[in-house]
Amino acid sequence: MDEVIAVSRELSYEEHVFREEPFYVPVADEVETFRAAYHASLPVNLKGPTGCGKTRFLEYMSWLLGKEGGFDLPLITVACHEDLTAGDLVGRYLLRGEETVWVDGPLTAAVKTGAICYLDEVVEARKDTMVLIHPLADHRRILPLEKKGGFIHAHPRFLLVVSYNPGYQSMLKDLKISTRQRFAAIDFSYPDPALEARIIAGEGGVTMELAKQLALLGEKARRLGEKELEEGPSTRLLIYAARLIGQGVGARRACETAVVSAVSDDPVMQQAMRDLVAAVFP
Amino acid sequence: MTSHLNLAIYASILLQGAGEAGRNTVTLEEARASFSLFGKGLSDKYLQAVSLENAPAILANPRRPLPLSNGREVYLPPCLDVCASRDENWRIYRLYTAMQAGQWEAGTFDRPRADEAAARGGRQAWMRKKEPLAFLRFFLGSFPMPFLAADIFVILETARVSAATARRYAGLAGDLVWFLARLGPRIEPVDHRAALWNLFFDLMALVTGGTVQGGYPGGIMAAAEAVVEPGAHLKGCLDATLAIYAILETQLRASLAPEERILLEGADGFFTDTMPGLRGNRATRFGREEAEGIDLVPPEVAEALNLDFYSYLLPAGVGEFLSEDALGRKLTEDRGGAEGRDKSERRERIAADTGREEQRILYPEWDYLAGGYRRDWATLCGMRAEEGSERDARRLLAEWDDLVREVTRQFRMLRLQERTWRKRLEWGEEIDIAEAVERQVALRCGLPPTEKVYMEKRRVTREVSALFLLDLSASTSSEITEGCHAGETVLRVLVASVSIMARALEQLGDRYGIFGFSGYGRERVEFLRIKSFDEPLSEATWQRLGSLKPLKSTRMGTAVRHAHHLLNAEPSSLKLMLLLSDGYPQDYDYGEDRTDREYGLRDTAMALREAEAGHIIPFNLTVDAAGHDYLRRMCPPHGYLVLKSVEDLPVELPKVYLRLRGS
Repeated sequence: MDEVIAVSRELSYEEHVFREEPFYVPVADEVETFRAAYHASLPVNLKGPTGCGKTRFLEYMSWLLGKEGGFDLPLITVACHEDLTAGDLVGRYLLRGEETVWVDGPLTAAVKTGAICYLDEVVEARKDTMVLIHPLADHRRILPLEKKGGFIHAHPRFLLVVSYNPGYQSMLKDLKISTRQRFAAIDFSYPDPALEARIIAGEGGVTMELAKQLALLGEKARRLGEKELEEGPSTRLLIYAARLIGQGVGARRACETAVVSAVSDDPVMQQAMRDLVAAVFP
Repeated sequence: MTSHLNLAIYASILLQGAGEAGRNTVTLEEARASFSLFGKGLSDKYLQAVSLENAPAILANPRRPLPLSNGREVYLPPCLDVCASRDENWRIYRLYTAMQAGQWEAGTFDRPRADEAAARGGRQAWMRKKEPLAFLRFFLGSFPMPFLAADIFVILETARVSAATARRYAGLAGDLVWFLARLGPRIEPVDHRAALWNLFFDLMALVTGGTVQGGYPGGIMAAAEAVVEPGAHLKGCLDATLAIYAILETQLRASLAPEERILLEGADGFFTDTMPGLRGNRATRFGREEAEGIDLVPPEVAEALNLDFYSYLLPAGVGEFLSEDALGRKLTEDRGGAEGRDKSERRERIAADTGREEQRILYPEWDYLAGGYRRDWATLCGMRAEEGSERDARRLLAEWDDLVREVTRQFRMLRLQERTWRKRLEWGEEIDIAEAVERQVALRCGLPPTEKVYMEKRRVTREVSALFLLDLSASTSSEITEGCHAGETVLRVLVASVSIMARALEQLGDRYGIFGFSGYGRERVEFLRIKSFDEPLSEATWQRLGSLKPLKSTRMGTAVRHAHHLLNAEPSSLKLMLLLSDGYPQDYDYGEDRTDREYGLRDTAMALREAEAGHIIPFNLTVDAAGHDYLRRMCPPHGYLVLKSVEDLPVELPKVYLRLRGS
């Protein structure tokens, strides 16, 4: 038997383009709203709980807008964290031997090439870093390059998108008002059970009957905590469970692995969810 | 006469604690928390799991195939070892919980919408009450023989809910079939309850594809079968109750002696049992005797069922607050003592309290049912705590001497450790390589180079304000029963804990305040100042700490809001609120019904959320072993700690403090 060796190829930021249509089921009018925001060059803030489909939505929009415009619209994603510096976003000089060379960061690359730059979990980034995007997120659409002593005008196709989860933003972390009010916001939440079942069936590759049961489990499990305080299993986790079932794992075991253990470490909460799984799956 | 399995389940009430639990035994204590949550998952209502022994007989007894819930609680066996394996016993718990929680989904407690009610006019007092069974109570109480109507309704409703739940949840359908097969279907129809038992099994046979076997008067099945059809609503169940009642009442009356009929017609256990928290008098429970003009069932009920069965009135007076309830030993003592005490002594005490009062502030309260705040609802009285004797103050920490020394030493060390490298300095003890490289880069690019390439180790001053909030409710007067501090009160240990912290914080230099709260009713929530942020730790502070006594109730939300208010005025960048309590929020008018914990819990949760939104970090330490049940709903997952033993508090509090402080 021939040995198959998978080789991963290193891509530059600009090469992250979707050629195939990503699977996405619209929940409301978010596609139309985002399309309008893109054509109006308005930066967008995607708000919603984890695993509800924000990133997938953006992948879909990247593909859709590119297809409608007849051009490639890359999606450049930056996962924000508290140590993210301005240099990490914009770029930096690097010492290479005797030379000092400038290397673009992901934001600069997106601004230059006309891509969607997606700052995921933006609330995690330091506030002073986020101030950097202010001139880019208003009518000026410019990115100052402090270290180079200049700035870049954003490409007409460039769009800045941020996301954050209002549910678990830390009490000491929040977007500055001056940052928040530069973005048009689209709220996301978990889809209703019927729609969620369609998504699970489509993504997880299971029958509609099974997908409905998983969606039912998701609906019930999300009630376990007070919704203001905790989050239940995301659609993503339900899809994971579906995929495990598709691989031949028993339904209860798949849910234990992908949902029960993934959502909480609290033994009481886990037991309650385990009983919900047993209630839904024979 | 009933099934052996059912008898064994109910026998667990008598046998609990009688012998050693086997490996297959499941106890309510271990299952309570998770099944309360499980019930919430199914019903979206937090249903307290309580023992079957606390269930009203009309809702749960050995002659019912499954218990019925009152909408607030689920009734579970105190322990269960009737099956060979632990998994199977757990399965019975799950089924019991699911079927009771399923009542909410199946619409047992449905109410009319507010606009419909308004359109109909009238008082409709039962609608305004938060009691889920209020309507059913009135409906069943309107029958000449309420116990018979209730027996019929409960069986039909159990069948309807079971059928609906089994259709929706495939796993529970399997559990139900498994359980019914062990419960044993038909029994000798010696009385109407046995006949209804058989009816239940035949109704479930319609759902599960079993065989209908009879064992009840003719015509009953025809009236009942609609309740297990897909989409069957409560209204169908009430229709069927009326029809079956008409059949069974005739037979029952014929079989009773005249004196028995009188006795049974007066039986109103359903009403006294199902809603113990509500008050009403017997004259208002039966339409027949209702002085305010509610007529008997047949014509009006029939009319209403044809139109809108929600349109019944409930006599006023039902559901009022109870003014008398156990608040704890202290309150009883206060009241009892006050009666016999000299009036002048009472006046002096009131005058002394008034003299210590420093401020009054009105705070709102969150009403989760209304989905909004009750404006200016609770009055907070800010007071200075009494100062006790110096001897009490000196004794406070005597028993915790070793711990005081250890914690103080740790905090002192921490102060020394709080040094870090400060960079980007124009001169300092060492060169910062990274900055030097940056400087070279800037030079090569033709940019003005920075001169800040030095670094130095300097002390970092953390600006921290911590507020310790002590629950001074009456329940803190309870004594510790185990360990080396047995015999001491819970409050004594709470106070010792904050005293240790006070000593240690003096070493660290953080700003801190110590306050206590209690009160009785929304008109007077007492908030005692023991040490404010600006006061030094003085002899007076120790005397106040030493004199603290258990007081009254726990209106926690108001106290949290005031603590939030005090912390808001602090200039520190890090603000901590540490709440030390021994139980859930409770006050006699904290919610419409004092037996309902939900209002206080939700109000406190909202107050904590408000504090978080104000960039304050609240943390709740409780010595209540059952704290997980409600704290997981009241606080964020990282915002509370339940201590196994009261004695652990003095050890754990400094650790929690340092963790919150980020040291």
